[in-house]
Amino acid sequence: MKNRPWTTDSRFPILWSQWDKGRENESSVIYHMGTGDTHQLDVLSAMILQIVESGPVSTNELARRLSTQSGLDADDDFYLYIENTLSRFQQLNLISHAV
Amino acid sequence: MIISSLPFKQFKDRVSSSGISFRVGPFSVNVRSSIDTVISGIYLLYSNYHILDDDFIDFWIHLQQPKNLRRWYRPQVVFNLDGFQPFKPLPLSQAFAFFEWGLNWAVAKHANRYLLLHSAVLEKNNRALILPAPPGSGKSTLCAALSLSGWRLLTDEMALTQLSDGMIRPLARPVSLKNESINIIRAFSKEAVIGNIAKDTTKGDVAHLKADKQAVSDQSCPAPQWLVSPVYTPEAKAVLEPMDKAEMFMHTVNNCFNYNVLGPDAFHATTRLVEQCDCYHFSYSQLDDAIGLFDKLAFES
Repeated sequence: MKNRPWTTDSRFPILWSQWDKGRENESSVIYHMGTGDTHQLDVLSAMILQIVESGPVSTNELARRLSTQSGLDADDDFYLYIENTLSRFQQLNLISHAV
Repeated sequence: MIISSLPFKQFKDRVSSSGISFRVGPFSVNVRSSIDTVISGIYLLYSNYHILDDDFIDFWIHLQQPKNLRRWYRPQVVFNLDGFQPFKPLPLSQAFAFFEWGLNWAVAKHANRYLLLHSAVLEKNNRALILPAPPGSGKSTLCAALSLSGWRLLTDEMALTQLSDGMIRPLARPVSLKNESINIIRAFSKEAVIGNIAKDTTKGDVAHLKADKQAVSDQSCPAPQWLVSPVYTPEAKAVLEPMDKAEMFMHTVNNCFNYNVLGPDAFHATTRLVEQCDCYHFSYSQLDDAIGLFDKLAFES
């Protein structure tokens, strides 16, 4: 399951608004055209969603890219955070497994 | 011609028969009623509003007493909008408040060319202070006090943010005061003109503060400058603290009447609003301190 790629649905784009980009206090909100819902994201969650949005990606590959981008060690806690975040995004219908 | 230019008798006859049409911000309203508290309430609190003679009216409002047997022991009032009754009747003593609530509802349901926020808006130096907040946060009390202290009232209840350019359209109407706020505002200013108190409504005791003449006549649209989330906190000093933009975005969305109706347009409009404004949390307990702080903010910006 871990290596089944995640993807967003290109029929339903995600609109982004971001403030203080690249800074410690960066903050984001998104609007999902499919559900009509708006969500506030922390910095790491936003990075995860942007990676998935850029193209289908497995959890392992996502973790590798996120580790590179953020400078965080890819330890167990890091993986757990990613898995929980992906699961939350799936529940919110923002992402799904690629067919 | 404004409402106060009609003698009361003539005004009363007109409201009771064809109704009186007047302009409220960008909307035209016709109110028809034979209920004394509605007639006297409008005559007192809407005295500076322009009477309209044309037939194109946005909201046709009729407040009447139902002609059922209950009226002999529990008199009620019914609110009709464009021939429909969107609400159950209320006690007759709440008739004027019912007019105000009904008009709020009418605007919230129909004015989708604006991003509609549950918010007070005041203006100084052509810059708008926007106070989105849920009920019970002290928004109306603060708004009333600011409007009596040199800030122009644009609205106490509903911010009309133009989707086209993000400017704030004035919708100056009486400020709804509840419970202790009624006496607080009476004591705050000798200038305060407050209508009759409707007792024991679902919101407690309710009375309305008259919007001043300049607020009613000035239809210029200021640019948003400050987005402030106010919270009345007993014993608290007046403190403004910067608020994260994303947090303010979500706070604004949570106080938006038509976010889901407008969808992506609302998202873009809210983004523009948040980006244009300095965003703050605000806690206060003393009105004088609060006004001093906002005056300083306006002066320094």
